[in-house]
Amino acid sequence: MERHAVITEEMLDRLRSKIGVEYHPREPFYNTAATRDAIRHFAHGIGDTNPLWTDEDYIRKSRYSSIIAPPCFLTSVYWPGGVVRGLPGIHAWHSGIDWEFYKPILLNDEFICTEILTDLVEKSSKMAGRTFIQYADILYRNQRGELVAKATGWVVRAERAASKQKGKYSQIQRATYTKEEIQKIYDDYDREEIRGSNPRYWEDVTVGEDLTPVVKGPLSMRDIIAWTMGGGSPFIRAHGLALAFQRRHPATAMTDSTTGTADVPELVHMEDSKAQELGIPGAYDYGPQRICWLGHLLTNWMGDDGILKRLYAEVRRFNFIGDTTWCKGKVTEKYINDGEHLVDIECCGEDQRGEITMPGRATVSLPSRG
Amino acid sequence: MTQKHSRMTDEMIANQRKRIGEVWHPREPFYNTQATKDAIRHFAHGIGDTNPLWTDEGYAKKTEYGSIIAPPLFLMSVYWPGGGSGFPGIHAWHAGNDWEFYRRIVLGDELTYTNTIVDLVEKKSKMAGKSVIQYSDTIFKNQRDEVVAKVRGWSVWAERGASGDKGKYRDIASAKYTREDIQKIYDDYDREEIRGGATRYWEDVKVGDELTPVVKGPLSLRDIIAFNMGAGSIFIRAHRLFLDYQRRHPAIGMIDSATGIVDIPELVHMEKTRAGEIGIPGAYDYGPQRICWLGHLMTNWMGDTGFLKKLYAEIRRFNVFNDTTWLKGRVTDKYVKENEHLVDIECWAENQRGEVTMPGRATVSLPT
Repeated sequence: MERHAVITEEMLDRLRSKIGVEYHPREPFYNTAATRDAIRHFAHGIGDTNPLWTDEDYIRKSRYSSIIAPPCFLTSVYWPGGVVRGLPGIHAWHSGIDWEFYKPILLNDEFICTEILTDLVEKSSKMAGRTFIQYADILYRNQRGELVAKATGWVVRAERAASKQKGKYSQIQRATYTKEEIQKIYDDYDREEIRGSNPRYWEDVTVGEDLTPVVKGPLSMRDIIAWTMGGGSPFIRAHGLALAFQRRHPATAMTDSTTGTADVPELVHMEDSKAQELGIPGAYDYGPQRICWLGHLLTNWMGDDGILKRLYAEVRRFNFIGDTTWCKGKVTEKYINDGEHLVDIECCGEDQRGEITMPGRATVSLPSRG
Repeated sequence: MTQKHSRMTDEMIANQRKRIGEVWHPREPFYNTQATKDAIRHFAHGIGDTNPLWTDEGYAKKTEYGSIIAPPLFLMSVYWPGGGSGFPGIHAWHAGNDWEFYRRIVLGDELTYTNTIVDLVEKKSKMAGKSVIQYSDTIFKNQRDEVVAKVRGWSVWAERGASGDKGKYRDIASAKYTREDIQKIYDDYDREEIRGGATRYWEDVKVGDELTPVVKGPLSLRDIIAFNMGAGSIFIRAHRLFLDYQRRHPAIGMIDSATGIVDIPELVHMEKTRAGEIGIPGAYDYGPQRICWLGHLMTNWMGDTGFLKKLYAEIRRFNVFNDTTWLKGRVTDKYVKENEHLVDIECWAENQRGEVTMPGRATVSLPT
């Protein structure tokens, strides 16, 4: 008997038949409203201490009438690409999001989402045998009927067994740091710059300038759980709710050969033995989580008057527990479009090995002196 | 050689005694400050409670409340009453709660709390060398300045090294289930009875009646995280927020000798190796979590009109991953007091080994 599911033509046909069909989630993913608690849990879950998200006293002195939510808060409403449908028992690796933000998120805004599966593309992967990339668009609307954002999310779908046999990552060791290296990480935390109420004027930005990096690490299970507390999770359900889900989706469970227990595959983000079941050397962060860290980099830099218009990121390499990620950015272009003063930024997540684990790019609208 | 774990000194205990009676007003929220529909749902689902009174607006509209309300133990997401803080580097085991509830929590309520350490008792523990039990009283109020609930909470504080050396629990093997055992657990999930709108009248209750059990298990890391997502956590902080915390509380880090990694002691609820560091054979549930499960048993039984007035529970044994817990109860008394029709219930948590891991008792007010 196969211990892990394999991709069949029938499964693919069933999934392809859903392309273009609007899906209205019947149950909330995690948050449905941007309450002050939900915003704080989300911001703190990504390690973002910007007072614009949490501090009512700070807000009284700002141009906003209440706290607002960071743009990537919408991830806690619905994970683009993270709520995977189809191909039961086939593992999904969150691989990227292309966000377009249209409206700010104000305190107590409520959201509804629509998801549309847009494409299924076969791919030759280094990681496993037969793999596909599944694309979906998510539309986020608020209680005023406004389109707040659109996200295209994509996930790589690959057989768990094939992924394990390949063992592409089996040589990677858990990160270790000298005292000096840890001190450097702490220093980088201290160097973080929240621009805040000091406007970053478009005129003052020069092409080629670097954004002050944001550091996240060394990654711990603590960070992963803090993230789920703020951002939600596709499969973490307790007790009877887990049983009910398992009955509706019997192929979801993955057996951990080390412990013999069957549980949700999502535990690859917490338990080394579950990750090893997929040929990954250890537990690793969530794709949507890391993309939110890039959001943190950008909102830090642009200040309270900036608007994040677009954020594109590809999750390319694993970020294991113990790894450290620096979110970095560089201004690549500045221009005026439809009266908006825009800046393009190339940004990325880089780990302690100097590898780019997540390339990305963003567009920010800044206030003008003119 | 340096001490791997902090020692509990007489000076530490004397200093802590000075805090007895001080009313502590938290500067930062613990987790939730409002009973929003998302917060209530995350909490209820985090303890596996699917009662529609907490989440289903259509259902709740037809009840006497006109909208969803929060389960009484939702207050656990506002603060975990566990005897208060202190004793840097000394491990705390959440040991019990004695709740008194005065008002229902309705949708949109804003909740604040104060905590006062009320007593400190030195104890000779089987588990570790020097240990103390610290008691605190927590008062929860809503935005109308009404006292919603009062609770006495207590924790056992004991040296990690002593606890790890003692190894009282080392021989407990991880639970194993046959197919039939698992089927029985699933059947018990299916037998769960949410009384809901079928009013349970005081007149119909008999002393000796048994409550339909609520089952939770086999326990997984998944359940622990679901609880964190609903009810919060004491030390789980991400990235920079953790670094800031660590700088304010340098003794917080606990080394895991198996991996060499220093992190928060709270990970004993998630990592087997870290639990092993304090002599426990596996990661185990949170005390407040298990007490919330008892709340689930009571609200299931009493129905929409019932009111949970008191809930007392002692965490006596560990509930480690893969263990299964049945929450059970029996009516021990019924009486009328100050026009309230009350029922006393003996309730407890029992594991697959037949051990009572948490004895408790409750008082419920029922309609007539």
